[in-house]
Amino acid sequence: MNQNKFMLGSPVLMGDKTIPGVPMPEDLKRLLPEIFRKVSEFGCDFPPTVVEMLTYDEISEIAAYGGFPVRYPHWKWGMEYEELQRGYMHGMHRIYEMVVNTNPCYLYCLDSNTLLDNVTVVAHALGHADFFKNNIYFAQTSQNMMNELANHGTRIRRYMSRWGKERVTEFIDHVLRIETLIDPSKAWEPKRYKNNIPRDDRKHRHPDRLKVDEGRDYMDGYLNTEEWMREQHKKIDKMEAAEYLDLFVGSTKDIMGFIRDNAPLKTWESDIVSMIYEESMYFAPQRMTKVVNEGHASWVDYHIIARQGLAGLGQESDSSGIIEYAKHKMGVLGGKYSMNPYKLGFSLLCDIEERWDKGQFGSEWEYCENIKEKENWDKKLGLGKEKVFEVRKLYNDITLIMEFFTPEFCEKYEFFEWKKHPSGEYKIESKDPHKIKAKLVSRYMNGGLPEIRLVDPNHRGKGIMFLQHNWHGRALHEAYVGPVLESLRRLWKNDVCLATKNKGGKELIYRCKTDECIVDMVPREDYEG
Amino acid sequence: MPRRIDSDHKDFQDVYGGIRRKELKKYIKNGTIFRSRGKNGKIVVTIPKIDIPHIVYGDSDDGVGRGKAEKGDVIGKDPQKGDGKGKAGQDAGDGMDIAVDLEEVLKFMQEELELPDMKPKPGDTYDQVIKKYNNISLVGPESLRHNVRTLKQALKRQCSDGSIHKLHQIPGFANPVRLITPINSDKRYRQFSEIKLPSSNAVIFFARDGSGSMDQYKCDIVSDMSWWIDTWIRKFYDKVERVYVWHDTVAKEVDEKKFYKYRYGGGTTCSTALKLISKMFENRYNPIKWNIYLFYFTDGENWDNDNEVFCDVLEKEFGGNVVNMVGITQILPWQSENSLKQYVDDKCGNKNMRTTQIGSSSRQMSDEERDAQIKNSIIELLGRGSKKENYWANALG
Repeated sequence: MNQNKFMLGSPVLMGDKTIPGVPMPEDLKRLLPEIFRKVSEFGCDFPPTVVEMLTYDEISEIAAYGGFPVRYPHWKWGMEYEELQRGYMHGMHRIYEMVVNTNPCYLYCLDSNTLLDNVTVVAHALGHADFFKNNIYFAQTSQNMMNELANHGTRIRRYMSRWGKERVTEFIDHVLRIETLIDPSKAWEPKRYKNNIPRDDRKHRHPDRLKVDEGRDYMDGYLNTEEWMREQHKKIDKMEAAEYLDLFVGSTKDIMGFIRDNAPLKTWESDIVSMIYEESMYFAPQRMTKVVNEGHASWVDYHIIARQGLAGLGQESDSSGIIEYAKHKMGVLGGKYSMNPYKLGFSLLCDIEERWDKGQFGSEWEYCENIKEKENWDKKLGLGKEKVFEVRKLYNDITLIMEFFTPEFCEKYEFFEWKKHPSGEYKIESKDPHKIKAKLVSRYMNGGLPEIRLVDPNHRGKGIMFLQHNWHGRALHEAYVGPVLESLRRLWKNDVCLATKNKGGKELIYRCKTDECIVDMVPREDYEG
Repeated sequence: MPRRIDSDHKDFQDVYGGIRRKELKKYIKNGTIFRSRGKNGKIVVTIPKIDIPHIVYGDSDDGVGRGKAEKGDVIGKDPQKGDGKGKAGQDAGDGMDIAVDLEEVLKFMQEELELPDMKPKPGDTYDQVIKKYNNISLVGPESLRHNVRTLKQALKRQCSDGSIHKLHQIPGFANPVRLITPINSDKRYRQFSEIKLPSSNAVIFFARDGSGSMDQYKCDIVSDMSWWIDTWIRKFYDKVERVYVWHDTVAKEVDEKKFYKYRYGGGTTCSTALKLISKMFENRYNPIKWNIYLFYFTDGENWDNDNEVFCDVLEKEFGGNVVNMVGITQILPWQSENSLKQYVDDKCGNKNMRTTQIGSSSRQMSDEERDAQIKNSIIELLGRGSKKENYWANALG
C-alpha cells in the first residue's frame, strides 16, 4: 500500500465494521479523509492510522488495558475498569478518545461523542500520533507493542497454568510496585545480549544434613526435618546472592533492571520481571512528556478546527461549530485557578508560536531594556509554526519548562503559587516567576516521581541493598514506602534500606529486614550507631 | 461474548472483597464501628484505597495555579476540614467510603465480638396458646376415640391372654376367623396439649440519669451504645419497641431526640426511673407477652439513701421472670467508690443483671480508648456467645 497516499487522507485503513466496535457513522466517515488531509497539510507527520469507533464499555475496557486489547491477566486492569465505569456512571468524567503509540497507530473514538467532538478528537489524536512518531524521547520505543504485549500475556498465562494463578499474581504484585524504579535513558544503551545457552557455573552447594547412624536411615526424616532443610536452603540462597554483589559498580537509577539481572530469581520469575520491565520502559517516555505531548495535540486541534475553519465540517454553517468547540476546549483546559498539564503545555506552545512569529527571541531580545520597545516588538518573522514543530521533536516536559517558562510568560498567563494554611484555606503566596518556575520544575522532574538511586547493593558487606532518595524538599508518601520496600526485599531476598529526608530535612532510613518484611523507620544517626 | 476484562474485573472484586472484609473486622475489633449509625440499613465505612503502591511524593501543601488573583487571596478551602471525618479522598493512599449492609456488619460482629443470640425469656412469655391434638388419653368423649390405637391395645391384650387364638364363626364367612374385640379399658381417646408460642415482641427501655454532670460527651457515649444494643436486639425479634426514660428527681418518658440531648436537671434519684418503668409493666408491656430489656446509663452519682431503694426495686420488680436483661452502665464516674455500680454489684442479687463501666475518673480518654471501652462495655452487657473453639480450649485446658 502506498503510505503517502494514505496520509493524504485515503480512508483505506479506517476501522469500519471491525470487532470490537460499532460501525463508523456515515457523516464522520465522509469527513475523515478531509481531516486527515488537513492535518498532514498542516505539517504533521503521523504514521498510518486506524480509526475505530467504540461504545463506552469497550473504550473503558481498552483504556483499562492501557490502550492495548490484550494484556497479561491481572486484577489491576479490573480496578482501572471499575474506576472508569464508576466515573462514567456518576457523570464525573469520560474518555473522549484514546491513541496508542504503535505503527500503525490506533485511534479509538467514543460513539456517544457528537460529530464535532469526534472531528476534534481525530485532529487532536493525530497530533498525538505525530508527536509519538517524531519526538526524540520516543525514538527507542518499540512500534510493535501491540504484538509484544499480547506475547507477554501468553507467556504469563502459561506461567499461571504451570505454577498456579495465585502464586504468579502475587509475584506480579510485587514486581509492579517497583515498576517506576527504572532509568528511561537506559533505552539508548546498546542492548547486550547474553550468551543464550543457560549455563550454571556456580559451585553447587548442598544443604547441610545432620548425620544419621549407619543402619538407621529411617531417622533421616526426623533429624533433617523440612523446616531445617528450608533453613539450609535459605542460607545457601543468601550466600549465592552475596556472591553476585561483587559485580556492582557506581550508583544507578535502574533498580528494576538491577533486580532483573542480579536478584536470585527463578527462571519464570526473572522472565516476568523482564517483561514488566520492558512494558515500564515502553510507557516511561509518556510520563516524561505529558505536558508537551498534550500541549502539542491541543495546539494541533486548535489550529485545525479554529484557525483553519474545520469547525464548520458537517455543521449547518461554517461558524456554527465554533461555540461547541470552545465549550469542549473549556472542559479540557478550563477551570478557575486550575493548572493541569494540558493547559500548561498548550499555553507554552501558543506563547512560543507567538514569540517566534514576532521574532521575540535571541540575544537582541534578551538584552533589550526598553519596556516600550519590548511590548511592541514585532519583526514579522512568521517562524512560530516551525519552532513549535521543532519543540515537539526535541523537548520533554522538563526541558520545555526550563527553556520557555519565562518571567513574561508567567506574568502574561497569570501564574501564582499557593500554600495551604493550617485553617484549611488555600492562599496565594506569591507571583514570583522564579519561585513558580522552581516549583514547576520540581513537579515535572523525573516524570513527577522521586528520584531513587541504588548506591550500594552490598552495604556493610552483608548484601543489604541500600537506596538513596535524591531529596529536593519534598517528603515521600510514607504509607507507600513500606509496601514497596517489602516487595523489593522479597525480590532481592535480603535486607533493603532507603535513605531519605522528611519535610524538615531530617535524615531518615527506612529499612526492611527480617523474613516477615516489617519496615521500620529510624533516624540516620541511630542507623549508623 | 465474554470479554477479557470480565475475568480481570472479577479478580479485582475478589481482591476488593478481601480487603473489605479485613477492614470491617478491624473496625469492629477496635470499636470504631460504634461511632457510626446505619442509614437505610447501610453503614458507611472508610477503607483504604486499593492501589498498587509506588514510591511517590507525599501530598504537599503548596503548588502552582493560574488565574486572575492577587497575593493573599483565598482560592479554595478544604471541604471537610473541621468535620473530624478525615481528609478528602484525592491524595494517594487516602481511604474511600463504602456502604456496607447492616446485616453483614452484625454477622461480622457475631464472629468477632462473639455477641450472643438473644433468647426469649424462659417461662411464661408467650403470644398465644394453640391447642393441638397430639396426645392420647384413657378417657374422653366417644367422638374423639382413636380407633387404631384402641384396636392395637385390644390386640395386645388378646395376645397376652391368648384369647386371640379363639376362632369365631361369623355369618357370611366360610371359615371361622379370629376376632379383635376391644373392651372399655382398651379404649384410647385423642387428647390436645397446649403449645405456648414464645413471644417475638420485645421492648427496650433506655433510661438515663439527667443530672448536670451527664454532659454532651457522655450523652454521645450513651447514644453510641444504645443504638448498637438496640440494633443487636432487634436482630432477634420481629417487633421491637423502644421507650426512653429520663430522670432527675422525677422520671418521665421522653422521645428519642430529647433523650440524647444534654439537659440539665435538678438532683438525682435513680430509683424513680425504675419505678416509672415498672408501672408500665401493668398495662402497657405485660411481662407475659413481652420480652423486656432495660439499659440504664448513669454517672454513678446518686442520692445517698436512694441506692438502697434502687436495689430494692431492682430485686422486686425486675427479676429474671419479668425482665430478660438489665444492663447498667456507669460512665466516667466522679468517684468510683461508693458509686451506684459498686453498690448494686455488691448488694443486688439479680441474675439477669449485668453492670459495666466506661472510663476512669482521673483523666480524659483518647478517642481510641473511648472506642475500645465502648466495645468492651457492649460485650460486658450483652455477654459472650459460645464458640466451638472455646469449648475445646476449655475441655483441653
